[in-house]
Amino acid sequence: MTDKEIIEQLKKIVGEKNVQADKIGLTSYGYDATLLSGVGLAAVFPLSTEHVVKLVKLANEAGFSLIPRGAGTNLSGGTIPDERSVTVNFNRMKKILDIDTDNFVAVVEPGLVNFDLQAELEKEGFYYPPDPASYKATTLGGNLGECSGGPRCFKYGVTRDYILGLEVVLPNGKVIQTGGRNFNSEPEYDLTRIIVGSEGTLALITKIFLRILPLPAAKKTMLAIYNRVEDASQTVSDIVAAGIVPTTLEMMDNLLINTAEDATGAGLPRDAGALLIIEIDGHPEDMDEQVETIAGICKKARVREFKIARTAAEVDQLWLARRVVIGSVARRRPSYSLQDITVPRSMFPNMVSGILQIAKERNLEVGILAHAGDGNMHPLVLFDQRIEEEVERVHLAEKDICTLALELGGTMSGEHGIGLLKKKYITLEFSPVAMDCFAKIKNSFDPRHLLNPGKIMNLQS
Amino acid sequence: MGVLNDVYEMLNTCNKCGFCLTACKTYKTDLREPMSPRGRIQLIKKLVDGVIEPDRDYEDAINSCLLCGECAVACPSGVKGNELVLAARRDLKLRHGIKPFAKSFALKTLASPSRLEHGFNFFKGVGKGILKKVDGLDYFRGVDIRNMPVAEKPFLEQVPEQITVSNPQKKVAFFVGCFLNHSLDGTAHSVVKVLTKNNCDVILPKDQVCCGLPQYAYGDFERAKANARKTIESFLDCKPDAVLTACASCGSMLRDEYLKLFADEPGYLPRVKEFCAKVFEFSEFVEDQIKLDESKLKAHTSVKVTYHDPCHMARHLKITSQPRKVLRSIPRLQFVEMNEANRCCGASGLVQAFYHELSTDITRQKTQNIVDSGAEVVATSCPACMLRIQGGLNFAGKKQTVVHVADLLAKAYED
Repeated sequence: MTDKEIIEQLKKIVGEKNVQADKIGLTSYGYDATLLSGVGLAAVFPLSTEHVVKLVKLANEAGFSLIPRGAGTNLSGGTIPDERSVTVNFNRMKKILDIDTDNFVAVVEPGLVNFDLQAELEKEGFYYPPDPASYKATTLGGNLGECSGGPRCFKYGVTRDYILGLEVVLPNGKVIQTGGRNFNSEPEYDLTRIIVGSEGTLALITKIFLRILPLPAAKKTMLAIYNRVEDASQTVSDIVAAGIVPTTLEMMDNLLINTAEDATGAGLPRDAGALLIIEIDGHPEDMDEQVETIAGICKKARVREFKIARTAAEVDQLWLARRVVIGSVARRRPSYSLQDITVPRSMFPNMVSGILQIAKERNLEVGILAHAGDGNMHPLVLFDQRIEEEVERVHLAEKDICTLALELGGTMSGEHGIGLLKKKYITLEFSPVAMDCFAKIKNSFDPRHLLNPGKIMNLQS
Repeated sequence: MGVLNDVYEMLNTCNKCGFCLTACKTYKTDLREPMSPRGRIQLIKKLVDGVIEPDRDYEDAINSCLLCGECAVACPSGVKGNELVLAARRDLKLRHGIKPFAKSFALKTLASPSRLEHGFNFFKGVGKGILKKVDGLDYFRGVDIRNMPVAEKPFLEQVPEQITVSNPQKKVAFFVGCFLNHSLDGTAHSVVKVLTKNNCDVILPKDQVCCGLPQYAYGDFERAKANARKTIESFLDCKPDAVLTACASCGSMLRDEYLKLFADEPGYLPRVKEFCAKVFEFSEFVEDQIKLDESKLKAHTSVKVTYHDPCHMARHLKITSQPRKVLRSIPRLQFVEMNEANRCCGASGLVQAFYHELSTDITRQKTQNIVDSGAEVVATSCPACMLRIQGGLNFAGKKQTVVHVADLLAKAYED
């Protein structure tokens, strides 16, 4: 089949309006939130499971690959196409099929935006805990593919912990449902959990059964300001050691405090070394005691100022400042390299000082953002893509950071996935035997490598 | 290419995080990447980099932008998507003029007072009749043709050049604008009534022309400048205390965009600045410049009113509290907020004509929010929004009516 014939067939399946194959369209689906890019064959917008089945069948027949895409906000090159691939945009499959508050379940299509679900749930007094910083734009299907976390995941866990079941189209064009509305996972191999976080390499998701929770009765949001980043990271270990489980323990260093303040004018202290945003939830009567304990721990770690947000507007301002961080660094330098390492909580202070040391040695500017409670850190190394020599130093620093995380017993990706960007480091973390296991899982689902080829690992075709 | 090279650093500052996607009504409605701020910015950058050509699809991406400015508010890195689109439209104009012909014709007509008057006269006389006879053409491109008002006589021909009061406190030159002059003349009368009731002399320069925004928005800076210069000179000649407009779009052009338009003429810039400093939007003037004596306002039948923030009001002029204060000061007026009050109604100048399906979908979201608010009347501050939203409500078979804040306030001065 020629490319032209393929595009005609695609139009027959999803309709003319749901195919983009012009130069402008293809350029627009060639990037994500990384610096990588590519140009595919076409971009399509299926509207139903049936469309997806037909697309998969055509891909098998004509020998092109399929790249599932939600909003294209991923940070790992997970949706970058190549010349033999068709991008499957799920963002027009965005219906909420059911909100079942009796059973704490929501059933949705994969293209629904995380925030749009939250808004509907809130009307019923419920919420969906995983809330990545980009939740206003990202789709639930995309969150699922990358197994996104979010500020609340210290207490509530990541996407994986909230997916009860899926309807998926397998690479052979067959549809299966895994799991469902039941809280107990089905017997035998847990296909749901194998597919969650598989970055679109095993199956195309067409329906998601999510676990939802009632909104907490009370919440307190605190801001702790430090002169030294080391003191902030010490506080994190101390809070965890004291047996307190905040929903959120977010850390930002001086550089990021400043870019976030530029973006929001939230009133963050520009001269502080670091700050922590701490949030707890639960029963109203427990709040004060917990706040007091946390305040005590912060004081012991030489906190400069400890504030409690008094109004909903103050809480919103703090959260807005936190959520814009990754986007806001472009105010400083046009490009960034973002790592997603996670280390055991007790190793958090060592990792922070290690990153500062690496930045100094490589003569690079780095901002540290961390979901500190669970040891997940996003060091942002800032540079300008147009300066080649600097780019080389950035690559060296990336490797240093990943290596250090692994040395400290951590992992190189907590929630952004491997995609193309971190593929080159994956063998640092996994043994050849484990890599072989991955390859066998991939091959059992997708022997012809039709789904998101080249992501996560290189396979012999 | 110079235009785009000048903004290259801003293009390069977009790190594609996607925070703008949700902020953008065209993206949220159409859901294709080229219809998003990130998509448009990346296309402009690819054009400068020589990766793509300025073909029809590129023009569609650039020209379908509402210029509502919401992406600029949402962007963590301070990238102003609307300004980049404006630069891209300027670049297109310099490359090959404004296309298609219908758009360039419309912009030329708007820029010339005599052509504009002929246009409205034709529409009032023959045009509307023809359109009405064509079955199913009551709504042409989402605009309610049958009910679209046309002034019997342009407002400026109905009033003297100067209206004086017995105890003048301020001398206000009223920039009427095309829509209030030719279509919503009743609103223009409301403005004059409020001003005179508040002891303002009103000057109505007869030679006033279009503010130049429509031309400016499509990159015809030359024509926009010609109109801007005429406006600045004829209004400064009157030596007013204030130049008042009741159109948010004209307001943002007169006060903010003129400064950008003449940035390359340092010799003339002081004159521009002198003019811009005198410009006030209606509600802002009423709240901040004249002390509204609420005891003079009379109570009429109780009415539930909501307010639509025009884009040029909320994000360009940044005036949001004053119109609400004016409304709340009116006796027996029950004010309710609607959901997404400050989001675009879908009009956006010529976008509604050239991308009418998209525009109609966006208007439908606005009218739904109005209906859900429970209001009987929608007040706003921009005639373009008024016509668009009223058309949308009529189209949906809803009873709510759209008025200008000035209309409600003027009514409160009646017995």
